Amino acid sequence: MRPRHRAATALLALALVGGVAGAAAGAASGRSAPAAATPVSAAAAAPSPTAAQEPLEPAGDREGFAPSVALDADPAAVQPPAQDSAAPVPVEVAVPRIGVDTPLVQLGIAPDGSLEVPGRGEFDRAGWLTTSAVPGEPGASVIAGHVDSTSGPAVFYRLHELVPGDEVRVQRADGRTEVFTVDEVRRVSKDAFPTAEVYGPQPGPVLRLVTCGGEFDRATGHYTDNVIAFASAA
Amino acid sequence: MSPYSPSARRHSARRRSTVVLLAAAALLLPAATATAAGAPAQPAAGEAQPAWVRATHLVPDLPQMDISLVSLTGGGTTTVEGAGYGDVSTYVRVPAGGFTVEVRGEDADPASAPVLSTTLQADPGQAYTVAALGTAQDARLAPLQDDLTPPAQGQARVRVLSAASSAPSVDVSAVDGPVVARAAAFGGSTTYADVPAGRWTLQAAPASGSGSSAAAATTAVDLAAGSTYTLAVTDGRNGQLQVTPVADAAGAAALPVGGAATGGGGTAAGSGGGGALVGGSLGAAAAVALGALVLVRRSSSRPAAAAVAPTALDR
Repeated sequence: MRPRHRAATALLALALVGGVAGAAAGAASGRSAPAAATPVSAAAAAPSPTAAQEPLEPAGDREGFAPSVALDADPAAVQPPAQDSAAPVPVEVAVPRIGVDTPLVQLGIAPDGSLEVPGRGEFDRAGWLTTSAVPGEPGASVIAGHVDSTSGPAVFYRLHELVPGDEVRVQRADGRTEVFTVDEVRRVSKDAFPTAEVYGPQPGPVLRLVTCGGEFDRATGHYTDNVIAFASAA
Repeated sequence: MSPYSPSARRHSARRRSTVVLLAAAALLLPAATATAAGAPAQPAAGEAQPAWVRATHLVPDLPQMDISLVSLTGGGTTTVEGAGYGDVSTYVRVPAGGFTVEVRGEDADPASAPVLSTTLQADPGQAYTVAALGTAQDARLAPLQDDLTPPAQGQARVRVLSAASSAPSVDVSAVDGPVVARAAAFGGSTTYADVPAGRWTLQAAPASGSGSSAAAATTAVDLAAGSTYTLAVTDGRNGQLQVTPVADAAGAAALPVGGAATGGGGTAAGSGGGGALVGGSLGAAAAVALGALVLVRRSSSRPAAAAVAPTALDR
């Protein structure tokens, strides 16, 4: 077979395979049932029942009760971590089911107000938004990574494959590993980005993994959508 | 190389073939969009963020109580044990859905009739404080939604739960700062008020004209920007009010605007229309097939090109 014919035949074969594979790729990903809430009991307070109108001792150190955030409260009471500026930063994120295991770079907010993203040479790294919560502390922690570079897949290429129940592990500089469980994976138009839901205040530790998705507009050089995995700490 | 030499003519022939190929490919490519893998646009049923629920006992004269959150969808029961007047529990993470909230005396039989009960529809990603409010003779259990709207930049948000039997209504303000609540009636909650982030002395006093002789009380706080808080105003010692601040939701001082530019397009399919990965792959496959066909034609036409007789232009 002449070289050109061989090349042409190979291209035809590739086309057929690509077409079939593409058709099969549309299968919906599976999902697991949400975990049932397990009963949790707060430790009972030690003091005997008090007279009706007498105030109780501050609940700061009683398990299951919210501590007062008053500055003059019992110093032994746990201060809400939102005010704990000494909380260590996250340094690594792993998402075992999609093969992600990467050191974290730090991201801020760009001068135009948008989310900074990992730079050239950092396509294999995800980044933690330093103005968001430290993973494991109350609030929304945001980690963003590229879905692809201009030439191939990047760190969060498979983020869209996550399903509820999948695990995300974030290691902090203090050696602690925070484990989150995916609750929801959603693709949103960048024109209707759910800012409050992703970045807004939260009562407990939650995590958002963000990357791009949808159509790539070659005219602008940007994807039209973001894919967001919403997760919460167990 | 002269533009009219035989090799130039073969180059021209190749360029014409190349132009044909590109033109054909362009016909196959609609407006220059391509597709990367993407999650479904909307979450499937069963995929939802959890809700956050806590309870607070704000009924003067009721002793310590057990407060149970019972899932109506088979998710089990969570109980706050031994909540006394003025206590606010920590939040628990629960699957979104319907719940019954039941209040019983501490250590009462969980199968016994509750003293107070209510239902709660906990929506995905939302937060709730189920508050026992009012007097012992006239208590109610109110599921309050905790507003997770981000405060304006540099602000925190604070609401008041008015629960001091000695004050039919209370005023709460930051000393040398904004008013947090005005005439907040006993047994209820206010909406959230914006307070600039930072250190404040918050003061609760009976509202003027309320006829209360309770003494005002203060508490010092450091409000974090982007975060939300609840102040519980209760009966303190010696005829004083007591004001206790607790954190609701932790937020950020500044929020990014818009979406995230986290893609370079290197894996987007080369052709095909908008829509799923499937369409992109088929479009790319078609483009590749066209390229293969053109290559075959070029190879078979090459001998013919070479047989073109040189003309005067070839010199």
